[in-house]
Amino acid sequence: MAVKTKLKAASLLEALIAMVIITLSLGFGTMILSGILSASPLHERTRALHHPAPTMSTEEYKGAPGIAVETKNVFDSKGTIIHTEKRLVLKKP
Amino acid sequence: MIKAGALVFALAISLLVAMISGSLILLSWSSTMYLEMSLKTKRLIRNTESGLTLLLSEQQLVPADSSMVLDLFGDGTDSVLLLRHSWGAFEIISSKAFSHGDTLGKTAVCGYGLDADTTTALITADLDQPLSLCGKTILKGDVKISKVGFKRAYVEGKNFEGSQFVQGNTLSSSRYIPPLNPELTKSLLQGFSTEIFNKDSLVFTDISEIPDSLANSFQHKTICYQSTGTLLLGHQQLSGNIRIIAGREIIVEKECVLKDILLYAPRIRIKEGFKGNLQAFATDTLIMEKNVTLDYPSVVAVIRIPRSPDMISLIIGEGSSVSGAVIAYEEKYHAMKQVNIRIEKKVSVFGIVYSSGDLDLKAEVSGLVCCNKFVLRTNSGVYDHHLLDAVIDRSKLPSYFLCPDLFEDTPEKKIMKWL
Repeated sequence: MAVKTKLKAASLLEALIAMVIITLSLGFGTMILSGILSASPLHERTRALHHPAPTMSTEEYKGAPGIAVETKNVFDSKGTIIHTEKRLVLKKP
Repeated sequence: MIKAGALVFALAISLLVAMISGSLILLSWSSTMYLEMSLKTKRLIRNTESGLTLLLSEQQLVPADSSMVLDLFGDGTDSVLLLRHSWGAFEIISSKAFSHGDTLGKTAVCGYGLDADTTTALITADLDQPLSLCGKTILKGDVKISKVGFKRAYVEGKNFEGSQFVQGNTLSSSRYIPPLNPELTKSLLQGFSTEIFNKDSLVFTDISEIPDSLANSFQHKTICYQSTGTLLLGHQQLSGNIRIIAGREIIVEKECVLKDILLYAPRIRIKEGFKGNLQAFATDTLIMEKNVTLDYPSVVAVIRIPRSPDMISLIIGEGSSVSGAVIAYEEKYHAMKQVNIRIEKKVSVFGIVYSSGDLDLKAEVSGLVCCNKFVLRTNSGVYDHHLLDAVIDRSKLPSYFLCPDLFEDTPEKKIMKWL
């Protein structure tokens, strides 16, 4: 590639160094961001939802005999509830 | 010495790295959004189904013919709009979950199973009179009849040909047949009134004609066509949430296409060869001519109201078939004022036949028959409590068959059809 320029070699070197710094910054920035995201509760929640370890509990629903609330919890690796699903189900006789 | 071209090279690499970094950030953001959306959708689906489960139970939170918004679990995040309203002899339930502008809903017609009693084929009132059987009459299933029991009879040159009267148990019935559920009769009688249609879109056919083709979703208001005279449904194609009321008569021609709609009139005549799915309620006479086919879930009924004539009849012509329920109802039995059902030869009824008065059965019923008494009309005469060449077979009715809420002790409400 033939580029004709009148820039001096010194300023060219400075520009190049600046570019390298920017590139490295972006690279490191991406890695750091990726690390933050992977450690975020959202990522943890995604992972837990894909590999759920649910526990079930049922309790009476007020105002409707024969109906129970079924609760399903999803825990993260530390045992904290990160997601709860509730639904009404007909009680089995 | 570094060449000037290196700057361009460095710029290109920077751009590439920037693009990769941007893509990663975008990917992370989009996966976050996808996760949030899928969780929200799942929540809406769960809440919609929970709402339906609630409406199918014996709940007291949402009364009949009403709607209400309910926070299901009291967390402020699971709101559903629940709706119940009667649709002829059936009930429509609807559950619509919503969250931050997104909604998801389901609507269905409900019916009731006959799980409590899966073997009874026939119930008649105990009028101290034997049930006389002639010809090729077959009763398959348990029967509840007068203590006097059965009798062989000879009518129209035919004696009873069977080896046993009933293929099942014979039990004693009570003086009266089981009454219809008051909630159902109230709902059916209300159908003839115009007062309950305040919430509906009312169109007077004396001013505006019924269109050639109309489909109205059950998510919308009911469109009610009302006429003071006779209505002829000739070439119309009507489906969905439509109620038609006539002050005098409704005539349904063979070419007419009807699906799910309600008909109310003193007299209703369904012409020969018609095929469709409807609920028709008359207060004077309902006639199904020959070869009419009413698909499941259909209901044909005559109901006595104060201005009904002394004799009100429901006639099902030869070669016809009904899948659902055939009802003739009056609140109190009068010897002089009678309701009766006449089911002609080669008719097939799949479901329930209920008559507070007489039943003239010359055909096959796959299901349950409940009537005050049988009356057999032939060319030679009228015979009280006789059956000639009739078949009542309960075993042909599957356990998952759903019918209107006819009796008070019907057990469980179930989804009959999604709308």
